[in-house]
Amino acid sequence: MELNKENIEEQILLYIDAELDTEASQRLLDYIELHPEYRPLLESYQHTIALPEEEIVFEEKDSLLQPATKAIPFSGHKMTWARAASIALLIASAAFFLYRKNAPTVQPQMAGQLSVQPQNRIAAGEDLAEQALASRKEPMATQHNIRPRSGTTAKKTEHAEPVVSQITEAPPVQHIAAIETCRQPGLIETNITVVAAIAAPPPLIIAPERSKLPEWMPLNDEHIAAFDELLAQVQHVKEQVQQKASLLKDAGWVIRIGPKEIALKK
Amino acid sequence: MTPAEYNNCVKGLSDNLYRFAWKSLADKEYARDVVQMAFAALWEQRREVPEEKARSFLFTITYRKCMDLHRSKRKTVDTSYVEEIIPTENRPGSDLKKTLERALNRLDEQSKNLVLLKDYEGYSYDEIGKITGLSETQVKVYLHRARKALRNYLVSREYVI
Repeated sequence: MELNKENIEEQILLYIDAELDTEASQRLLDYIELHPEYRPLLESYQHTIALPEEEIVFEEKDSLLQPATKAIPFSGHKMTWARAASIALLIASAAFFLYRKNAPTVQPQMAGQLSVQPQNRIAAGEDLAEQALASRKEPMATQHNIRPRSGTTAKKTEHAEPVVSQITEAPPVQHIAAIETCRQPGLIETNITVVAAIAAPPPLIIAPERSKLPEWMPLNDEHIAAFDELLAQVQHVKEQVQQKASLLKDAGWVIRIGPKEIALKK
Repeated sequence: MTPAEYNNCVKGLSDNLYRFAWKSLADKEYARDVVQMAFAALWEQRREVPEEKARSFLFTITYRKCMDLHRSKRKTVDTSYVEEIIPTENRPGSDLKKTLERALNRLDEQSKNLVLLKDYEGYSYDEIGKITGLSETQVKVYLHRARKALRNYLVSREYVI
């Protein structure tokens, strides 16, 4: 651009604002060197440049600072979390199915004990079943029966593994001595087995949905008979306890010697 | 922008912003509030603002806050009006720096801010246009007009050698 008196002031202003490149700046200075009448104009504009006052500082900058905590990018560990969640899900699923597979079922045991044992099912056949039953060391066990599945379930699972169940014969019922014998001061005969049975935890309540399980084995007639006998015993014990309670209510003194009690009427 | 980068901006730019706001508003308290608001805005948007653009972001916020305050105080006057009243002013200063400061305060707020951004921070016309929302040509015209006004004031007071 050719410099002249028409554009010299604009070029000086651009020079003051540092908007001219090196070549244009040098050209302007050379022009002013040749035309010194423009030097006062240049100097007057140079005085219009406001210089920053370095002594002015923002004294509250500490209040603007933020704690530079180390950020943990969560997205970087997304795969790790996904793997951990998958493993936890697999473990939980395995534990759930193992629990379902080994869930206890009601097995009629010795009628005198009133206890419910988890059904022992062994999938490896008769020998293993015998070993397992022997290892249990049931003191009252008298007979081991190995029964295949029966009914429709057995037909559906023709090649299924045999199910081993332990059926024990109920011992002869040991009747408690007649409560009438206790009306007068004397000995009350107590069946220790019955007392232990009462103290035993209640039998597990099996939900109806259990019958829909793939390996569900329904109770046979022997089981039902044993249960009936068991219930009869429980009812009998219940009645005896009630009678004993009413008797003791009227008793003034009760002397206990081991398992035996001596009640003295008021 | 990380918190550490934000803190670097606080340490490196807060003085510049404060100087600009103080000169623009001529009020320490307002200037402090404006700087705090600018950094609060930067902190809130630190994820969208990279460190290299923090400076222009902060000056944009500060400039607009200053202009809002000027409008609220109704202190904005026209440059031509300043040029008209300069010859009637008869209050000599003690030195050139104070006289120039007085001359700056006679400018309208926008022209004054343009001069401050140019002289204090060394922004180009293009950068000032982005901060202020003006075109590059407008920045150039307003700045040249402001320079002429300042020069006229200084010459009229015979502070220029």
